[in-house]
Amino acid sequence: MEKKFIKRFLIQSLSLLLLIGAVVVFADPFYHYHAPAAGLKAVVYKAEYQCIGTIRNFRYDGLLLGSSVAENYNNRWFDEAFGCTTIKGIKSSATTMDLLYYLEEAYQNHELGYVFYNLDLFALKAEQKHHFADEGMPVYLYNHMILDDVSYLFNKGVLFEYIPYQLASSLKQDYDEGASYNWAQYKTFSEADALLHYERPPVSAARDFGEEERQLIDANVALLVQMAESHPETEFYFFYPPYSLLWWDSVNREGRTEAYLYAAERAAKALTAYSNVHLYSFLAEEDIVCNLNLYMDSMHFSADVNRWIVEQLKGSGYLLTEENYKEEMARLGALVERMTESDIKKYFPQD
Amino acid sequence: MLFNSYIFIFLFLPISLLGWYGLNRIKKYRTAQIFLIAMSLWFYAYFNSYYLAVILGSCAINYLLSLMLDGKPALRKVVLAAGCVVNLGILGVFKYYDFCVENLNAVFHAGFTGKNILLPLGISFFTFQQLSFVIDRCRGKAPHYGLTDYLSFVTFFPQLIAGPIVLHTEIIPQFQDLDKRKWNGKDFAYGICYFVFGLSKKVLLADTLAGIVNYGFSEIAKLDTPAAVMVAVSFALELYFDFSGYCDMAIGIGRMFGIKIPDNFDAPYKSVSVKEFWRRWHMTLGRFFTQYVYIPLGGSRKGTLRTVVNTMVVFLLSGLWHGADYSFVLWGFLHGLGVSANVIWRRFVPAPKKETEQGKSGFLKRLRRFACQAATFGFVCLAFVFFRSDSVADGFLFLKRLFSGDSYHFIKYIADELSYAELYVPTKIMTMVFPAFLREYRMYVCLAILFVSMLLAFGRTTKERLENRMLTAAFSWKMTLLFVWSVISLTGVSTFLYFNF
Repeated sequence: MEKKFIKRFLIQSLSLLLLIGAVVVFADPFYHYHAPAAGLKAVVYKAEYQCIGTIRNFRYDGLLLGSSVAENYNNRWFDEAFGCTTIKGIKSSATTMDLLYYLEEAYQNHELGYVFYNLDLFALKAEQKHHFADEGMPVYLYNHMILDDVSYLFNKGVLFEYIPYQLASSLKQDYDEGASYNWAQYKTFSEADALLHYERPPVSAARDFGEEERQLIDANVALLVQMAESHPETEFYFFYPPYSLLWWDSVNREGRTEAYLYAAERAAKALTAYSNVHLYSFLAEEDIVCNLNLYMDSMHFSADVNRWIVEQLKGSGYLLTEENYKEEMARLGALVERMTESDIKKYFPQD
Repeated sequence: MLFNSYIFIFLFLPISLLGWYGLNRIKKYRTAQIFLIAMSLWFYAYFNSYYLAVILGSCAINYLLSLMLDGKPALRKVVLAAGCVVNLGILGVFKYYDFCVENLNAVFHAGFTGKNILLPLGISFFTFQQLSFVIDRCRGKAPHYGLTDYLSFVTFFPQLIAGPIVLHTEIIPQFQDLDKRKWNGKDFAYGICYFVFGLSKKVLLADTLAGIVNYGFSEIAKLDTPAAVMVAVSFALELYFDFSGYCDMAIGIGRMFGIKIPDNFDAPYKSVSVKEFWRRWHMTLGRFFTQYVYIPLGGSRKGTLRTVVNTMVVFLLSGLWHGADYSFVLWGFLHGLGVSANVIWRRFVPAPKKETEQGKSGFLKRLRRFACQAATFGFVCLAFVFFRSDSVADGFLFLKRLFSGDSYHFIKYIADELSYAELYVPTKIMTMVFPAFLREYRMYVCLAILFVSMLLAFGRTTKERLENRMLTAAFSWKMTLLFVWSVISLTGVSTFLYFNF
């Protein structure tokens, strides 16, 4: 009787686990094995779990890279503007190495015609490491070990939550596959919201810019240059997103303004030298950065701004060149000074 | 390595079992034992190879102490003193160094710096295990074992990092009994059942309750009375399912290898007094303290006052054993008070004799029993507040909130923070169909989980559920479903609470 019990238990358990594994492999809500199965839509909304799978397994020739401020772009806007098929490679508070990791993964088995790169100033100053092997990340989706896929295959969250959501979303007629990772629909953008979510830091006497920071910025810029140089077949569209005056206020109070202005100019100088690189700056677009009604906090702007940026990428109004970048950076410096010294008083008159 | 991990279930355990029974089958008994020791050391050092040096060093010292006594009984006192100093010294350095430094700094306003030493897993368990062996050896109650047997006793992985605290007399004879090396279908089948029960206790119950507990203890100041009661009860249940689940798994794995590991829990929340609680909760720790501290101090043989003093010493040490923090000491102190109160009460009010009880109706007896159980459970829950709190101050703040009498439905806020993958679809349906009742729905889910957990904690023990049960086809399906449900719940689950002790 005991032997029969053991046999039954092992066969039943193995069969049930294999069945569950097969369901997960077929539905594959994190796209770890394949692009959406026949009849299913690309339901993409959880960057840490899905980005790497979509980058490895989807068919595309345009890649949009960036941090959370890039999440509200609709991939279709890029497709229409540039005649390509775009997907996103998103990482919250992404370092340069984070985004270049995505890019390298994409180049493994894709020929990229376009890379749209949201160039955050903080990423240029970030440490030179990527965070995909960190504790807390689903490392089993990033490495190439088959054995640890058990964490994905036998995972009740995947089975009871992500697969049902994927199926339900696929059944929706109006599900927008281009709106991957978008969150703007859940937020409100107004001056009140921006101020409510802004924790003004105390003024720091320290100046966060020395030789160490300079070297870090130079090294990050070098990585971008290296990537652009090694892929002359790709058109790189880098763009500095417009941070609000509240963001510049916090940067200024923490003594980081000089470092960020240096980063912006250093990257501009290096990147404008390449013919396959197009660098745009929206940092000094006053109508946006001084209008807090377009923000939900100090740096996250509404999807209307995202849409507007894509339209500008088709033209040359905000294009930085070897000839004009110094002038544009000087204009940015002057604007930052004005915003942090006088414009900000509208919101914090006591200072 | 954790029992509740894919690598353990799908790789480590099958390899260990195949190697053990394969080598024993071809009569390579000693090689099989060495293989099991090697696997146990891999299990132990999985997270950090530095642990290996600590456990091997500790084994080497204790083994040499035992060897010193071989043929030289005159050295007993020296070896006993050396054994106590070395074992408690090792524990002191790794576990209590920083605690002592903090106290010295506080008392003498000194500026000593701590070492932030990484606490080796299960050091309290294997240290006590070896200490008991050395003491028995000095008392002439233990022989000098061969190195393979000794290492098998200390490192046998099912009980290595979180107990039960086994005695050499329980384990080594089993390794020496070659009849036990043959595969036994009954032991193996019940071993599987114990393991599945333990795994599900840990993964399905303890980790679910942990959601309520973690949120509650992160927002102590905001708790109202009902929420504080819910959080305190949830923690008592979480701790029970966590630790007894681990022990069930250990017992189950032991049985798969043909080795019987002693029980560590016997429905503790059914206890009618704090004293009885300690006969049912973490029984092997209680046995250690009774045999090696309480009885040598005089036990209950030297009058009421001395009994109370001895009891308090044992529970203060027990508190300190659980963690180098005053919140644990206070927890131990409270239990010492509870047990002492039982002792004093019994001096003045002797236990009712069976004859006098016979006259009472069954209802009255049950009512009295229920009241005692409820009072004991309440006491245990309150004391556990300090066990879980980050500091004594947090513990008192929690009690203040618990007795505040405030009620502003904070349970709903806790319930809002929790999510259960199994209930994702029903919750989505609720969101769409009855959005106005979503919060109530979440709260009732939370309370239902608590209710079911209480029923299970106050119900039959794993042993009562399993022993002598017919292993039918229907039961194999129950075990299968429980196992598979637990396996798919492994990702993202918390670590065992008792690893920190």
